[in-house]
Amino acid sequence: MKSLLVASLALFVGSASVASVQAQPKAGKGMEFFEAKIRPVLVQQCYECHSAKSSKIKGGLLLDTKAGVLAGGDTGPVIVPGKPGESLLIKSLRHQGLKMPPKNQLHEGIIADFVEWIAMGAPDPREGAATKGYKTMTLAESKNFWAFQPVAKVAVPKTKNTTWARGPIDSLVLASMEAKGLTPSAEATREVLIRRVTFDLIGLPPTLEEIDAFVKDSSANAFEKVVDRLLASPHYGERWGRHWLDLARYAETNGNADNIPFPTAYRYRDYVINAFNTDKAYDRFITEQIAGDLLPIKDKKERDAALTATGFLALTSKPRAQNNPDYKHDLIADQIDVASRAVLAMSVMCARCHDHKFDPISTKEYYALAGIFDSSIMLFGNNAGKKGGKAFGYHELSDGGEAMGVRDAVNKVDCNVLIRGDAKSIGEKVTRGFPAVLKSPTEPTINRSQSGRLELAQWMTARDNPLTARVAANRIWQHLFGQGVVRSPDNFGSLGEKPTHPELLDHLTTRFLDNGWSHKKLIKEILLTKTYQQSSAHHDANYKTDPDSMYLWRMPVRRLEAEAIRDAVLAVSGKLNRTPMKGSMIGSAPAKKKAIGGAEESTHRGVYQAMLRGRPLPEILALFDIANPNLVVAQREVTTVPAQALFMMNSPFATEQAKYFAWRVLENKTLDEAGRVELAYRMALGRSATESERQRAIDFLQAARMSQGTVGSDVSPWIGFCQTLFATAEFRYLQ
Amino acid sequence: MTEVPAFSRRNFLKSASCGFGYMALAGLATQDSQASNYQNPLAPRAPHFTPRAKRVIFLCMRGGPTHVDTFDYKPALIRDHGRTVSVSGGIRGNGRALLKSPWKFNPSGQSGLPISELFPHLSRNADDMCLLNSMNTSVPNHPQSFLMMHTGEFRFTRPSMGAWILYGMGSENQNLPGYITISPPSELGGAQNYGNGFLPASFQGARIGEQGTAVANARVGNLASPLTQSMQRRQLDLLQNMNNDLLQRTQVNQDIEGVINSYELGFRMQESLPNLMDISRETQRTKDMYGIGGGPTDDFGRQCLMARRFAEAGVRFIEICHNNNWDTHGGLTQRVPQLCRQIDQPMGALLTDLKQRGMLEDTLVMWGGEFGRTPHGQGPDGRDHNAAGFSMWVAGGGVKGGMRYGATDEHGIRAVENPMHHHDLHATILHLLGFDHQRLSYRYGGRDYTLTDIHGNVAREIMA
Repeated sequence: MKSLLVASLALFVGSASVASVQAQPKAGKGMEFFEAKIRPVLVQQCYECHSAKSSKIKGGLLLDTKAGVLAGGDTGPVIVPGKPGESLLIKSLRHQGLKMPPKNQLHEGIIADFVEWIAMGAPDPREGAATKGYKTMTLAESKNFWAFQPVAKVAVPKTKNTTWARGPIDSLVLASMEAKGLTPSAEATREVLIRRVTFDLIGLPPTLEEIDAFVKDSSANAFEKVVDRLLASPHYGERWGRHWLDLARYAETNGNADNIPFPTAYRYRDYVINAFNTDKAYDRFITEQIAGDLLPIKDKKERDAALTATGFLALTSKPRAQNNPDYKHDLIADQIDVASRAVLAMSVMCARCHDHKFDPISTKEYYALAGIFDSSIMLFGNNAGKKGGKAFGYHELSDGGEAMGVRDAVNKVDCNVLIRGDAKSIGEKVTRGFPAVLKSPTEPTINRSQSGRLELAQWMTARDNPLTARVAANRIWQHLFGQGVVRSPDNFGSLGEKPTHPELLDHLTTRFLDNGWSHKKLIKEILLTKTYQQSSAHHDANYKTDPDSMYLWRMPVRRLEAEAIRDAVLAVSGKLNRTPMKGSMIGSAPAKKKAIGGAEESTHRGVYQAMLRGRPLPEILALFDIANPNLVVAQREVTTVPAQALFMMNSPFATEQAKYFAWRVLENKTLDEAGRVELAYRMALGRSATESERQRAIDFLQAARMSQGTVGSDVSPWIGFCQTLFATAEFRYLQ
Repeated sequence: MTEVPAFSRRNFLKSASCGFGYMALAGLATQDSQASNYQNPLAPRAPHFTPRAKRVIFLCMRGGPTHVDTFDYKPALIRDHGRTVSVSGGIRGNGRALLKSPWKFNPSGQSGLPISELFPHLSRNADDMCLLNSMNTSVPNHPQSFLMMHTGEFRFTRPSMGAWILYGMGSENQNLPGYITISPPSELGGAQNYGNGFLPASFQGARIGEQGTAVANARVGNLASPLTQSMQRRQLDLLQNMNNDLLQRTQVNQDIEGVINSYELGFRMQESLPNLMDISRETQRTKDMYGIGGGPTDDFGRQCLMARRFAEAGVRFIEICHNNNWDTHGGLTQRVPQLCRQIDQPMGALLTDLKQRGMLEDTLVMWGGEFGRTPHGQGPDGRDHNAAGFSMWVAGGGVKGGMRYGATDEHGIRAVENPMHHHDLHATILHLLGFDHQRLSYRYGGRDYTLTDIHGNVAREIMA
């Protein structure tokens, strides 16, 4: 980068350099000519995209070494030494076909220098291999890359501590702990445990009755009973479905330039929630979303679900078509992106413009996938903006409703490669198919009379696809421990993280597959481990070795997600509407694009609040890092900012809910002040107050009354106290 | 306005020697070794090289301001008035007749920079201004280009330039948001224009007001406590005690400490932000200078004065959006003078005020919209969108004054000399702030992204 900077300063930019270069007398032959005429232009005009130090190397071409120049790029050799007329470089400089540099054609004098240089045989002192400066992976190398290995059967390791582990998961975790000299933590208290598991499974705090029942239950399977109850709760799907909606970049408006509403998008939301509640096999779940319209269907209900599922591919934020020759391929890129990252944790979209350097996905393979989507039609819904009288289409459901989604196009086509992703640079046609890196003997052959989405889904969900089940098992672990075994849950490629416990991941994956791709069964197995049930207590020696508890010597403390914080406030205040929302907050919004304001909030759960792109989201959800509905989000951010503090201190929502909470606490007329403090603690934090906490609270209440000159029956000190409980770190962090 | 010192833990401990948070913080101070794990995402950071500018004020003109009537003087347009043009390649209005500007251009300042007579105040600052006469962008449609101007992309959601800058530099004042946008439009991409995209949420712009509402009535939510100050202090003491207990119990450190910090900062932001927004304490002379006090300049004057106050307090990126629309397809002769009138005096005052306070040298002020307008007419009294050539201007922040950079063709249709795309503007802004635009990157979805993506040339000629 330094060299580029120096060169640019010396040469200036644009037309000034053209003049100065041209004004110089013709230099001598050979290397001097190269140094005087060629190198400066390469440095200034080409290195930005064609050097080892480029932030993105374009066209797979490196011009910073002789070897790179001779090797050429994605479209083949760029020079034929001695033959300028046959050299692609000269044609490109003349903007015949390729246009290089893309924005400004170089002065003819400079091009003449290049012609002369190539005629000389392209003398070039820049020895050394073309160094790409980044990790690359060839197809051959990918055979050894962990993520592309078949899922292995894992033997249960022997551990020094022979009494701790309850099963293979514990043994695997313990073995890696022991390898680092770590010791496991004691079991969490029952109060902590039921709070943890209730939030993890249904995203709500346990009720006082549920806490008491569990604390008092002395049966051996007390915890298992809690887990079974929660997994059977309809709130489970609202919680775990939302994890998937993050990946599906679920939203109810288009966003971008034309923010039209998607008034039927909620049907996809409900489909996802229902799929989790019924524990739909994950392979089926994926298949329906990619190719639900192509599946053999038993009945109306199944058909409705399968058609609605294809909304996954249509919920994107469309760019405007006008003045955008890439429009069609922008939509295809989104579909490829969401499918590859959500299902495979692979970034394939980069290969739209160049062979992917990090993972072995070629541009040809990208366009082989693109053909599948190009043979499909996106149905953005009838209401979603009839521009020029043209409706976008929809799936008609058996109840007369509409669903967004995709269907096969009348004409099934193979795509041409677009060189560097440019819609105007058309390359060879590629037969629809799948990337070779995940080649399998059981790979389906695409039925040419269909789009190929069905086969794509089959290919993704084949038992021997090494990614799909691993990615899903990793995400299940992630949602229970805060971090996946692979800490880059949307990137299992060479730029992603390696698994902290590779054998554990394979064990989880095998269990997931053996249990018929069931989320609930794997979740239950994990929850019943000692690993999950550990406390979060501090331990000096362990902390020094592994401060982040990467090896799970204690349960990591996790910030609750936005919806869980909001829903917990409403649950504690008694104002949460626990029924599923029928339809959507924007369901009745007119199709006219400018009619979208911020949607009203309801007291339904967070998952049902309107998700509008390009408009402020419900404040508490936005503040606590809800997934951006424009992006495929596998792991949410956790930020801590003053705006959250101000919301908890001053917002009408926080003070209003604190008031309802206070009323609930004061409802019980038999309790004294200490008893009420205890009740408030249990309701908000799921535990008793310590003696000093109780005293502090009573002092606060009394001081508040004194300063306001009010009497004991006044609610306002209690509102202040209850609001404080909502505001605590403990309220929003799960131990 | 009193200066707000940059926050530091130790300063705060000293200044808060009683009352809010004292106990909690005293507890924290004893375990500083662990506490220091907490990293504030908005802490100031050093850029790649010595910056010329430390902050940006962007005066955003939505709708596509007409350049040939404001900052791009075209004598040939007067000469060839009425001649039909032949344009293609996505430029609108083929076959329409050239329409000379109804307004005179005056040579302004020592440099003689030609500026339309519609800017009598601003033109006095000509020697500090660098006119960017060769601006161009990809698409002559509002939403795409508005997003392009703000995020460098219109097809996909990307972080806004303010978010990139805050990500790169951090904030100079931890009592305030580091990125503030005043009166942004809710359409044209809406919140995406000041969004954080895939960057952490702490880098998004804090919105004050909204397009269509006078900024005098704009309020920031959640700044006013429903409690008396002493009650709130009591409440916060209780809260911080509880948070500190949790910290002691779990010793988890940076997460909980982050929460404790956020309450400290939030508590002080309650004071500092409304104080900064409250311009009533400015002298009458200052208010007069900005044209505040009713009349056409009041709204933009308030925005400009707020921008100066925010800049002074250490906000890194401030965008103010003119509460009007420059989309003059018709009514040119009536509307353009109104639009210019609304912003002229406030902008002149802003530049003068910054200069008087010694702040112009490291504050980059930038004016412009998503594209310009055709030099050929549309209807009897209007101009169509033109993305092929238009003008913006920059001042201060290490930029040469009294200069025209680049040029459109003789009529102002197309940028021909040193063309400067929005991407190039972004690259140049980042450079002025001390960043190599290719290196200020963030990894998302397996790829390193930058504001300029594969584009962007730095216009070094404009640097002082």
